[in-house]
Amino acid sequence: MAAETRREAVSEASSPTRLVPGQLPVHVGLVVSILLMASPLLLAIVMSTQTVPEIYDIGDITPGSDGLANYVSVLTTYNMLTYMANSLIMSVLVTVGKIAVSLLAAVALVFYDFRFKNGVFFLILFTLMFPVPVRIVPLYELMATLGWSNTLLALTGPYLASATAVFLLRQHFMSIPESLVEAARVDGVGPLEFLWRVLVPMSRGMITGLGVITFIYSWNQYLWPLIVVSDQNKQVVQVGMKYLQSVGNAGQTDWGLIMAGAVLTLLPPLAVLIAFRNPLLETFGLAE
Amino acid sequence: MTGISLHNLTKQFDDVTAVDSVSLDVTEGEFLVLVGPSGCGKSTTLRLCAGLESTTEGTVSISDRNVTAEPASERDVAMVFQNYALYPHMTARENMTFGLDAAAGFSGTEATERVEEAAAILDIEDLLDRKPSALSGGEQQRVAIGRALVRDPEVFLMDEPLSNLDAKLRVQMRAELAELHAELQTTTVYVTHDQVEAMTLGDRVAVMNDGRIEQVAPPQDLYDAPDTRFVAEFIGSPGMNTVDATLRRRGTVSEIVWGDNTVPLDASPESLGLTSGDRVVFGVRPEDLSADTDGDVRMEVTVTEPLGSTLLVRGTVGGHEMEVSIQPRSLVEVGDQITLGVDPDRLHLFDPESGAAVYHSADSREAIGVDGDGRRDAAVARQGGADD
Repeated sequence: MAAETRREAVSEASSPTRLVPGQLPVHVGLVVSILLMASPLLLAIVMSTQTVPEIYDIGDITPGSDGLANYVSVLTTYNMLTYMANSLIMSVLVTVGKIAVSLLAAVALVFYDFRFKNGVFFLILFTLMFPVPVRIVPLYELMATLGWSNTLLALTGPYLASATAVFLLRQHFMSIPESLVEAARVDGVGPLEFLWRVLVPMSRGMITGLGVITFIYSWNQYLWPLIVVSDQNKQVVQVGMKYLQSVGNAGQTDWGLIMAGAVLTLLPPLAVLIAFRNPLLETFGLAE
Repeated sequence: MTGISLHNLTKQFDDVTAVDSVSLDVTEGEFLVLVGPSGCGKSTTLRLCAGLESTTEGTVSISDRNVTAEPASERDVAMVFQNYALYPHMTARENMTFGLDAAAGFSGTEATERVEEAAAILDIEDLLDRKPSALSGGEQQRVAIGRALVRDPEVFLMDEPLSNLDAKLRVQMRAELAELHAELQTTTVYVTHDQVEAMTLGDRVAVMNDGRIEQVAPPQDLYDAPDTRFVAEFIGSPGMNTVDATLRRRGTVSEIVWGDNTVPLDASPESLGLTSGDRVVFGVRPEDLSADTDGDVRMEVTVTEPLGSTLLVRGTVGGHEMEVSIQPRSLVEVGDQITLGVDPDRLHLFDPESGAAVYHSADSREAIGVDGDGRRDAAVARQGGADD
């Protein structure tokens, strides 16, 4: 019944819009608020095509005369492609690794009985309470001791354990009926086969959603890579953006270059978001 | 050869004893039903058989092999769950074959053949490529049973498999399960809280209460000669009426007295191991009471429940709540006083403390058939007359 009403509402909303005069202020309000929210992005796109003088002319918000020149120089001269590749490798590794580790942890927490199980779970949850910067100094020391500084290991390792992911997967696994686990036990299905052939397919939406969030989160990392990676050609894209700031003549920052970099940086997470929007919505219970 | 044998099986959860030294032998090919109220330990007993719970004490043997310490997968059992336990992302066919390779090392073609075979038996050939979400409850349960069939186990363990189905489908599936068992003759232990299911399906029925088995017997014996007051009250729909009464000598025989009501008993107190004046629990089934104008038992009617084939009348008799099942369309209304006749062949006495059966009148009057009592027929005839 409720679903039906909802479907009706949806079909109504998606039918060709007729402009009811009384609703005009509503539509104006909606358009303005959308423009307002999109304005930084729109400005960035506009500025990425402008030359330096055009940018410093505050009133000029028309597409500039530089065209795609800024994009080309960002990608070629300023190594943005390398940074993006580094970021991509880091993000994919972190995403895959974090989900694998969290899956195993959640399986242990839900389907195995061991002493202090709840204690372990709460210990994992407690890590949520420490903001990342608090952990940075000891973490850096650890990396230095391990000799991992300035390597991909340092870039990805610290991200593999995630209380949030463990928590979300645990809650999801707990909603799986006990009898499914028991049926597998009677059939002699081993724990890894159960994980791979039952839990993972049953949690596909949750895992994809987590993957999207993790990917974007890793892609946007700035502070930790800045600290732990010293070689510029190993650096990630967010730090690479910072390098662009120092480019420019006579103290004038080349904002066109930076905006072109920003737009480029935006593209991979956007692509991921668009490709996996449905499972992402499902993860957060927003899907229709 | 025994199909499954439990010896002094005990399961404790912290300080709760869920199963209390249960011993039970299920012969090969038998359909044994474990029945009891919720929390009586019947499901735990089944799970102990399956190996899904570890035993606190006692042993479980399957096909004369002690499997107490073996994991579920080594026991050669297949389990059917109340909520079907089908994997939602697999088709019916995948559900039926999943784990098969792991269990017994089947080749792909062998598995396919077995699935086809099981599907034919259960009439689900057309559903094999559907996912559980596209199946009705009854179809899902068929697939779940099919999954058990494909494994061709030594023992089927079924945990309330029909409880999630609607009433009509449940009756249909019940009949199909009975047919299936007649065909396959696989040892089956079946748990249910529904005593009708227990009676109709079981070769023998084990009634459980408080972690213990009260009685194991074929359904009719359970109904006719319950070992304990609990069994008497649990089996039957509605269950047996039981009232606290006093046994009194009357000549060479005795009578049961409560309030102003007396029921003659065709046995001397001594033959029952009792003396005149002893307290007893008198039991009589609602269907063994009948409206009888000459009866000695007077009931004040408080509720009438027309069931179509019979009229169930509830009321108080000598301060005790009792139920009687009489002819349908009888002119009985709430507040009426009716007199009841008692079938002398179907009286039961229980010990008021232990609840153990002391006497079943049917045992001492075996020569007379179940319905061989003239008085009952007369009452029926009179009732028929009243309807016109």
